[in-house]
Amino acid sequence: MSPYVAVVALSLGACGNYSNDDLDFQLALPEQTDMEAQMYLSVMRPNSAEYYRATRSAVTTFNGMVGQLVGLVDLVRGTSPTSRNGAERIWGPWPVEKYPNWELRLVMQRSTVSASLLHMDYWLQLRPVGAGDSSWVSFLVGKYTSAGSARTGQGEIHLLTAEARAAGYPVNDDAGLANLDHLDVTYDNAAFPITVTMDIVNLPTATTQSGHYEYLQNQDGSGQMSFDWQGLSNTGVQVSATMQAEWIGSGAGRADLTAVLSPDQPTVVTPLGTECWGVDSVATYRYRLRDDVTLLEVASGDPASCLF
Amino acid sequence: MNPTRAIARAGPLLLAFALATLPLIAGPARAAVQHRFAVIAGNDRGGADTRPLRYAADDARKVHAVLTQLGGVAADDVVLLLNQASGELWRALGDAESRIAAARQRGERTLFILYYSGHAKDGELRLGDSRIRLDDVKARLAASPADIRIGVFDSCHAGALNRTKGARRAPAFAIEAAGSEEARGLVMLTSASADEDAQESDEIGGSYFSHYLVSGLRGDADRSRDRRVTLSEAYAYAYARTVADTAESAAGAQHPTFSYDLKGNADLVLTDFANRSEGIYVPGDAPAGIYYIVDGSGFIAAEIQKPAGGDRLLALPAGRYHVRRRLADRLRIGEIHIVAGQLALLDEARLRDAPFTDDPVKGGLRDEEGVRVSLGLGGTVQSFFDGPTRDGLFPPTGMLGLEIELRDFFRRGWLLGFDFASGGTRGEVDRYGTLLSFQFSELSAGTTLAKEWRFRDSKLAASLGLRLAVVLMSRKFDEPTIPDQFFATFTPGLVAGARYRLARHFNLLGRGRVHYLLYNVDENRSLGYWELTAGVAYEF
Repeated sequence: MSPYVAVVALSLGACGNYSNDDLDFQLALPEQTDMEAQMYLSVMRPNSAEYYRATRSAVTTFNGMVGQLVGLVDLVRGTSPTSRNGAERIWGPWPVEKYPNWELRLVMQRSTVSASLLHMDYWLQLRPVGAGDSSWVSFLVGKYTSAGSARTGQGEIHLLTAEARAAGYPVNDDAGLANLDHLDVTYDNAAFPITVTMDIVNLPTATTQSGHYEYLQNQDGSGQMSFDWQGLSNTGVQVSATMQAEWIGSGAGRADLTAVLSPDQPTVVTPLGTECWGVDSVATYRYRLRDDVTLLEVASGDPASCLF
Repeated sequence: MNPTRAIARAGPLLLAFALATLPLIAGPARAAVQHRFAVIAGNDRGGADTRPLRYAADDARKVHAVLTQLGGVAADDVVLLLNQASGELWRALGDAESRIAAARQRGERTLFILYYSGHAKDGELRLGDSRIRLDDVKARLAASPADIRIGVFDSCHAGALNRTKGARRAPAFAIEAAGSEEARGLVMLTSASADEDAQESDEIGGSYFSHYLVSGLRGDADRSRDRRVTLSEAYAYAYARTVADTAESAAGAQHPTFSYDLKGNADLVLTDFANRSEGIYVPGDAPAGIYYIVDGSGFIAAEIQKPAGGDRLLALPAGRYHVRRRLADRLRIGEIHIVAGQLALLDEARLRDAPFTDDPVKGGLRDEEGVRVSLGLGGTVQSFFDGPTRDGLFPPTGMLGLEIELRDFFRRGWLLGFDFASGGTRGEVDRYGTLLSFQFSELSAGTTLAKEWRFRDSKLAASLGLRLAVVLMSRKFDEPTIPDQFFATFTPGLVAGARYRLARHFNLLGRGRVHYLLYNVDENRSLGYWELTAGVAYEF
């Protein structure tokens, strides 16, 4: 603002947060509904299918992590920017409630991708109170490009726990983050099918070293969720397991469990089992080849009941 | 002892006797034999510590009209100064003196009239911010080369002019006249005594004294019925009517004064319409009472005090006039058309009964005296000029408002207003294809300073002025995750308005505003918006 305009504005007493541009920044921040898995699940029953339970558990975990990420940017969603400078908005710095010796801010920058697209980059940053501008450490980094509307598009979020930990921020005090090295999420809700991927990389000392989720949602309510993880089995063997679940809008679905049982043979994928369930979540077909160590070869129900 | 002083001290009885016998003893000097000059000044403003007058300039116009129409003053020999400073008056006096001196050199008899209507205070005439000492005016008038000098001063405390000459608060005076010797000397008339205020009246649309002086000169003072109005007739009439009409006023009775220092014995004819048959004739069988003759602009041109059984003649220019006679419970009103060169007969049968609200005098504005306070309620529509701003930022909005106006508060014809309004509407903004609905709300408070022009032939008044408002605009989005937004600022603007009097206390209001608004949240943008307001106001 030029000094002349500032003088005029001051003399006219102009103040406020009435801004259309601010809306663009607000709209670019992801919401829980943009990334969470939508699965029309029946109520959990004592006799619900085992793989159904596992799928539901994975969806719950997935949505929980999405919620935590979104919760970080939700700190600023309900408030107006603290400062505006052209294509940049900054919220904060504010003291971290849990750690008053630290303060955080959210920086958002608009880039011109095209006149019809909204493109934003944003950083949730931390620093010790009183430290200089160069001390800001990015704890969360995101970007978003709209497609079709400001609310729909492609985005990604990266939770950089390792960097925050290295800067001295007490990440480990949070049990949910203590073993996390970093977490990456990408989402695309521009059009159906909506897709979300999440990669979790834990510290080497963690029992589960990494996890990967892929979620897909169709317009008719059907969807897919694959989730795999790498870690040590109960017997101490390094294993990699993948569950691929698929369902229709009513909730009926199917899941297949596979695993790489030997780290020496990463391309050898062993099917461990299949389950199909109906709208009541009760298994209509169940097949078990083996658990991670024991050959079972057990089947029950009607395989023709499987939708997929 | 100066015989004229002796006459003056003899009191009203002698003066009345002299007035009554004067026409029988000596025929008055004819206006036509003199070369007459006049300087007529009216100034509504009196500078600091005075309140503006309403009719001083109008009074001057009326005197100018009657003197040029009936008083034998040629248009080239009169100067009319309206709201001019003392310097202009002084220059006009100098010019008149030069012309009078030239006329005298040609052997002409001369008469000079100085009429002033305006403020006077602390021994000075107040012409706007300029002043002239009363003594200086009087000395200048006394030194004028004219054979007869007549000073007429319609202003507060103007009686101070006559104080040193033994002025009289008497109903009439007369020149002691036993023959036709031409008068020479100085006559001073003032509208009020030295300790009195000269009062104006909205009822008659002028000061009492000037109004009755003009009415008298137009014929109502012609007691001798010779179709000539002498100075003493005019004064006697103006004195009586002024005292009578102001007796019950809050300021108390106002007593005109006179003084003169004349030689000669002929009375002075001020207006002569013996050879002019253009005016209104009220026959003897018409009902007695006071007839107001209202001109086309709603002002009383003259009035007729009609006695029972007596007729009256009033000289007026051709044109259409309203006639009003006030009864205890109603008005009698009608129209009369004076055709050029003809007398119009005032026929009672052509008058009709009317309620007081139909009073043709000055529309409904006649009772607007002093500070007027009104409380108004109105609806406003507001819209920004810029399309994108209107569509997505500040949507067109309706508001309900309350306003208080003070008219003639610190200056006549000006209004000071305070207004408050609140309103809102639904709005929608499109951001990259995402439509966000919101509830827009606005509060505004403003103050307006405007000049108001009142159209005297109607109930309409128009105003133009400046307004400074503070506005608080906010919006609440339907989307719960988006925070509420607000913007507050001062915004200057222009306002044009009109009001129309519906009834005695009720006005219809219409107003248009154009405002500038500096928006500085996203970026610095100069915006403009307009407002239209309609409402009603109650005037206390």
